[in-house]
Order: sequence, then structure tokens, then C-alpha cells
Amino acid sequence: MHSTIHGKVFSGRIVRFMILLLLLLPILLPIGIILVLFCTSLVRGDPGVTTQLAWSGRSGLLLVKSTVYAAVCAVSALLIGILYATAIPRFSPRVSRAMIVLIIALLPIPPYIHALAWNNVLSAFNTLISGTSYQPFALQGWVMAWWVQVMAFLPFACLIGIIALHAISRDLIDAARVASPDITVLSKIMIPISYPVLSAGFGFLFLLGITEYSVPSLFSVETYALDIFAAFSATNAVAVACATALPLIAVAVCVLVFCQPGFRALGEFPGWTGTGSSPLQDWPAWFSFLQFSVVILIILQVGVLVFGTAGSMGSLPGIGAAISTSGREIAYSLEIGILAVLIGIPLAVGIVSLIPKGNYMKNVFWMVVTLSLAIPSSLIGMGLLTLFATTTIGPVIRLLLPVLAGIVRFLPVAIIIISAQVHMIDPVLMDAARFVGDVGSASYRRVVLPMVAPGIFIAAVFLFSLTLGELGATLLVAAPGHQTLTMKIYNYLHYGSFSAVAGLSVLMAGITIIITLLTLFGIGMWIQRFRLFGSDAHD
Amino acid sequence: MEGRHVLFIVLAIVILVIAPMMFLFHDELGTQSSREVVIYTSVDQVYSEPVFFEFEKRTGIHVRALYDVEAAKTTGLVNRLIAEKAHPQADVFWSGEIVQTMLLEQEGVLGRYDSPSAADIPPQYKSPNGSWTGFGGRGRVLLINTQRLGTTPAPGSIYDFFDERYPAGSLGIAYPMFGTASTHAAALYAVLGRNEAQAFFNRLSDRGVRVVDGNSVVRDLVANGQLTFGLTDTDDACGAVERGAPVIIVLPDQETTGLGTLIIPNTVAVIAGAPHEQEARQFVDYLLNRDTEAQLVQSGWIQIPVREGGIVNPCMNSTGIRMMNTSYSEIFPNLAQSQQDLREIFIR
Repeated sequence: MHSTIHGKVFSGRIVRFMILLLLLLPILLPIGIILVLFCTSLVRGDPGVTTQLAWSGRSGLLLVKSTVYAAVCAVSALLIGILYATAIPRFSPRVSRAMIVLIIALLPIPPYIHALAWNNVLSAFNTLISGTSYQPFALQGWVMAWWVQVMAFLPFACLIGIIALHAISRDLIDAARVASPDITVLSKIMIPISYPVLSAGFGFLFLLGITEYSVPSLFSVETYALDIFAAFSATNAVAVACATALPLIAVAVCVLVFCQPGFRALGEFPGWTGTGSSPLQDWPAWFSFLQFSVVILIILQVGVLVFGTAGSMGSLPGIGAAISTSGREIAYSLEIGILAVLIGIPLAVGIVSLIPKGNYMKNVFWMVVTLSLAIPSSLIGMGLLTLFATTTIGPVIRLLLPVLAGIVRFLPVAIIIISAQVHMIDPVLMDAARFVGDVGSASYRRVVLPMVAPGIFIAAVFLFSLTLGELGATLLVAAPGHQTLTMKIYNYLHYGSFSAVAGLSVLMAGITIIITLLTLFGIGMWIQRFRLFGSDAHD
Repeated sequence: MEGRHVLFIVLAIVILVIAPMMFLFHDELGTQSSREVVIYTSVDQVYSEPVFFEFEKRTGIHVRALYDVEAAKTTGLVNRLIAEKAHPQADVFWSGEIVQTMLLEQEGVLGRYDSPSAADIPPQYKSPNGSWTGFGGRGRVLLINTQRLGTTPAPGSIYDFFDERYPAGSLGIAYPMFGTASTHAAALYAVLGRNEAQAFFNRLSDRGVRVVDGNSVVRDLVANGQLTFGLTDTDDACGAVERGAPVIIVLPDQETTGLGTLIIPNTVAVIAGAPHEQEARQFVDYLLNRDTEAQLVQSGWIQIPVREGGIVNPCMNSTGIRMMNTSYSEIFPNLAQSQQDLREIFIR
């Protein structure tokens, strides 16, 4: 009987593992196929591939520049995010809530809208000072690319800062404050404790910065990620592009490994509801100055987004014309986003429910799940194209490729959010649910589902917004005549035709902000309805 | 499970899953008109899209366009067309240059069609076997920022990239392996010979002239004052002029002893085995129409019309241009070699 129980347990684990592998296939297959193609070409001694593998000064320098650029953007954004998180408790509870809602509302705005807004505002500023002796702002180059990328990263970085600092035990902070000033408590206790979450934030921002080329290319900055795309375009050979990408992937995977504990901490030990706002209030003057500067910067960022896009929209008939001629792109983009959610969220829920037990297997799990974050977006597009060779698939499958691109790239984010939500559920409540009925029973669903739902909704918003703004892979897999709004705006922006896309950018930003705020409102109502995470639930 | 729960779940599935898919795939499910034409184009979307809209309005034929991105100008689409040769997805290829189109002709990707709209286009702009037709050209020009230039004399030749009066870091070209920059490189190979042309580009690289990922990037850098001058196309240059940038356009090497200016025509071709051949021919007829060429001149995409007289370019004087002393059939054989050599110089 003992061996029978062991046998059943073992075969149960195998079944769970097989199902988990099946659910992870959408992420792993495109990556696997390009690796297979590359290895096959390498073994065959394909001269195109072996030539690409030969290291050159130019490639090396470009990789170093791209790595430094991504790292500087991530660190800059995170520093601002931490300052913002420490500034929030200085304001009244109502203002503090508004500051958090503001950040969440800004989260889904695609980076190219930040590029458009800042370009327009700085161009207007340059026009204002054109008759004076002041030097105009350079609207191209690394500095501009860095600034816009940081602005695009800011909402996420601020959210990471809020999560990191709010998850620390209040008792611990109070105890530390007895012996040390607040600035020391922050630097020597809170930051080190929240290091895993902060490192995950850095990792995510760095990987986004190094694997994407959309923002730098809009400011005439060449990055290694663009070289990978150019290599594929010049040769139409995935293996050559993969050979070009190898050094970048190596750097990205190293960062991924370094930040793994953080990703795992985010997904499994969130404490996101924390114990309320930080009690730290007693800051030195220089730190207070930095905090208020950051708050002003966020407000400025909102102003730039509003005036930088709305300000260049031109006449209402012009806006109407721009939107009406982009009806197909708008509809297609919304469809892609919705389908990514409808397919991706159940996948993410299924994957989270099958997270292995055991420390080692969990480490492997999180490494595999987050692997696609380290793969350049254009390479993922190439993998999908190879997997679903355009000459043999039907038109319907071809139209689904941008959906798959969004899922492959951003499913890890959904998995982390849903996992965090699941891990926030009080185990006592889970046991109570099982006591009331089996897993799968209506009673069980009435207890578990309401508690997991907020995480599912947030994951859906993230997946929708990130898929909507995805460019690198979508450019390669989109079928003729099926352009997403992001592709159209990027093409026009790259040409420098800002006024033509300002109206579309406002529309895009408006859609994502409204959906996010509605979701937030819905989650708030849901939490109140089921009395989750508040004092009622824990009394 | 109660009946109302089942009904709710079914309704949710219908609304959330099936409805978006019906909406997404309604074209493929044949609920709309099936007259369509698939066009791969390297022409900037800003210029090509209005042409497509106008064609749709006039003919009712739905245009499915595939655009390319600046960094992969034309080359990405060309490679895609070659890859799809056995099962063509595209009906028409509209390119902003000519040499890549000739490559497709050599690869057997293009079909044959003599459009009646091209009757008044000079023969040097047409394929001898009817595979492609050229129309409306752009020139390779020097775009100069007058503020940054100051009192220094303006350049007048591509050899002025080596002039010490102009600091190398203030000069720019697009990567000469892609798009019209690639065509220009192949033209230099045809005129100068491989050795001299290679030496030219090696000298550019050694000198430290900035190499960026597209002609529009060169335009932006010159217009913003980050470069003194750069080599770009007339459509990009005219765009900068129209936006009020402090720039002037110079047609290089116009002296009697000079190399001349390279003029690159647009080209259009029907793809061999196109899924919608009738519609493809209709679009080609429309695109090669004199009125469409005039429209493209007015929009700023074309600066040098191929038809004699009548079409006025608002940006620059396009008459009496001294062209490079070579033909497109001489330029084309040099394309592959030049791209290979330049990849070694600029990418490795």
C-alpha cells in the first residue's frame, strides 16, 4: 500500500509536470525553435552564422553602450520610484491614494507616446528660446533617449518602490526608529530588506530596455537590439539573427539569473498589502528636497503627456480624419489585446496552480517562466514566423500571431501578478474552503475565486496594455493590411510626422487609462463586496 | 449547477470569445467583399497610405498594405518576397528605389505587365521584359544646416566628406547597405570601379563620419543642428525645408567634370503568381497614372517626375539635373558586391 501511495503520488507529479510543460509551450516553443535553427546552422558550418559569431570592435562597443543605457535607465527610474514611495506618506491619506492611483493610471501608456509628448514639448520650448542666446535642447541622441525611456519606466518604477517599502513590517520599522534617524532606517534597514523586490524591478526594467529598440530608434540612437532586427532584414536568416543576438542574450540571462530571487519574491512572498503606509516622516532637508522634486517631476510628466500630445493634435476635423482613417488599426489592436487576455490569463492561472513544490524546482520554474523576458522582441517574432511558416498556415492563424507575440513576451508578468495574489490568500481560509467542499465545488469557488479575482483583473490589464504597446515582435508577424495602432504610430513617428499621430496617441493613451481606472474601481468594489484584505477580513 | 449559471457562462463565452474573433476574422470568413490587393511597399506610410485610401475609394478594392521600418528599408521586404516566391502572399511590390526591384526580377519573383498608364514614361525607366516600371524619382542630395555651416563654403560634392573644413563628427550618411543609400553605393561601384569605391567608403569610416540607420535620421540630425551636412534623399530633405529647418539642398557633383547626381525612381511591379492579379494590375495602372505621379510630387514623396513637363515640384528645381553617368542595368550587378564589402566596413 505504501508503494501504491508513492506510485500514485509519483504519477500525480508526472501528470502535473506534463500539464505544466504543455501550458508553458507557448512561451518555450518560439524560443526553442530559434535555438534549434541556430544550432543546426552552426553544426552545418553556415558561413553567414559563423561570420556573425566573429567578435568585432563595433559590435562589442554597441553591446556595452546598450547594456549601460539599459542599466542607467533602470537605475534612474528606480531611484525616482523609491523617492516617490517615501514621499507618499507625507501627504494626507486622500492625496496619498490619489498619488498611487495616478501612477497606476500612467502604467499602461506605451513608451512611444512619452517620446511624442516630450519631443513636442521640447520642440515648442526650442522655438520659444530660438531668438535668445540659450542653446536649444538636442532632440536626438542618447540623453533624449535616456530621459524618455526613464519617463516611460517611471510608473512601473514608482509602483515597485511602493510595493517594496510598504511590504516591510511596521513593527520592524518602529523598532528601528527608536535607535536611528529615519534616513538611516531607510538606507540601512528598509532598502536592504526590500532588495529582492527592488532587484526584480531593476531586472524587469533592464530587460525591457536592452531587448527593445523602439524608444532609442526614435531618437536616432543605435542599440544592439536594432542590429538584431537589421541582421534578419538583411539576410532573412533566423540563424544569423540569433548569432547576432547571442551576446545580448548572454547579458540578459545573466541579469535574469541575478534577479531571479527578486522575481520569485515578487511572485511568492509579496506582502503587497503590507501593514499600511510607512511611518517615516523625519527626513533631512536635502532628502525632502529630492522627494518634492520627484513629486513635481511626476506632475510635470502628466502635464507633458497631456500638452505634448493634445497640444499637437491640430484641429478637431483633423483629429477626426486621423482617427477615422485608422479605424482598422484601432479595431485590430483592441482585438489583439482582448484575445491576448482571453488566451493568456487562463494559461497564467493554470501555470500558477501548478507551481512545483520544493525550493530547487521552484527556482527552475521561475527561471523558465521569466526566460522570454531575456529574449529580444524581434527574435521572438522570428521564432513565431518560423513556427507558423506563413506559406503553410491559414489566414486565421496568421492573424493570431501578434496575440501570441504578446503572450510570449508578457505572460511572465501575468504569472507573477497572479502568483502574488494566490500567495496573499490566508491559508486558514483555503483550509476552510476545503472543509466546506472539494476543490472544484461551488462552495470552494465562492471562497477562492473572489480572493484571486483582483490579481486576475490586474494581470489582465497588464497583459492587455503591454500587448497593445508591443512592437518588436509584432512588426515581424503582423499580416499585410493588419497593422496595429502601435505599428502605425511608430512608423509615423519615425518619419517625424508627429501631428498626424498625436490624435491617435491620445486615443491610445485614453483607452489604456480608462480600462486601468475602470479595473481599479472594479477591484475596489470587489474587495469591499467580499471584505478582502481589510480589517474586516482579519478581525 | 443552476440553469441561470449555465446561461451566464454561455453568454460570457459568446461575448468574450466568439464575438471578438468574429470581428477579427470577418474578412477571412468572407462576410465582407473579397476584392482586395496585397501590397508590399517600402515607401513611407505617410506618403503611400493616402494613395491606398484614394485607390480604395475609386475602385472599392480593399488594400492590404505591408510597410517596412526605417532600419530595414526595402531589404526586409525584398527578402520576404524571395522567401515567399513559391507561395506568393503579395500582389504588388511598390518600392521607393530600383535596384532591389531588379534583384527581385533576377530572382524570378516578378510577373510581367505592360501598363497602359506607362505609355508616356521614358523607356530607360522600364524593364526590357515588362517586369517593372519606374516612375517619379528622388535624388541623392546633400542637406546642409546653414546655421551650423556658418561662413564655411557649402559643400558641392560627395568628396567634401573628406574636406578637413568640415569636422567628421558633424557629417552623416545612412548605412549604405540598405535602401537608396545602398543603391547609391552600387552606383559609385559602377562609376568608380570596386577598388576606388571601396577606398571611398573606407575613408569615410576611418575619418569617423557618422553612420546612422536611415535617410530620415540624417535629415533629423541635420535639421536639429547636430550635423553640418549629410547625404540623404530629396524627399527627406524637402521635408526638413517644409518644416522650416535652417537647411539648404545641394545636388552634388553637378559640374561638367563631376560624378553627377544619382536619381532613383520609384518602381512598381506585379508579383508572379499574385493571388489577386486583376486587382494588382488595376493598382499598377492607378499608380502609374500621370495624375497619381503629380499627387505624389505635391505630397512631397517625389521630387523629380519622369514625365516631361507639367508637373511642378514645389520644393526644388528638378529640371536640367546632370545625372550620374551610368545606367540602372550597370548599377544592379554591383549591388551584391557593394553590400558585402560595406557590411565588412560598417557592421563588423
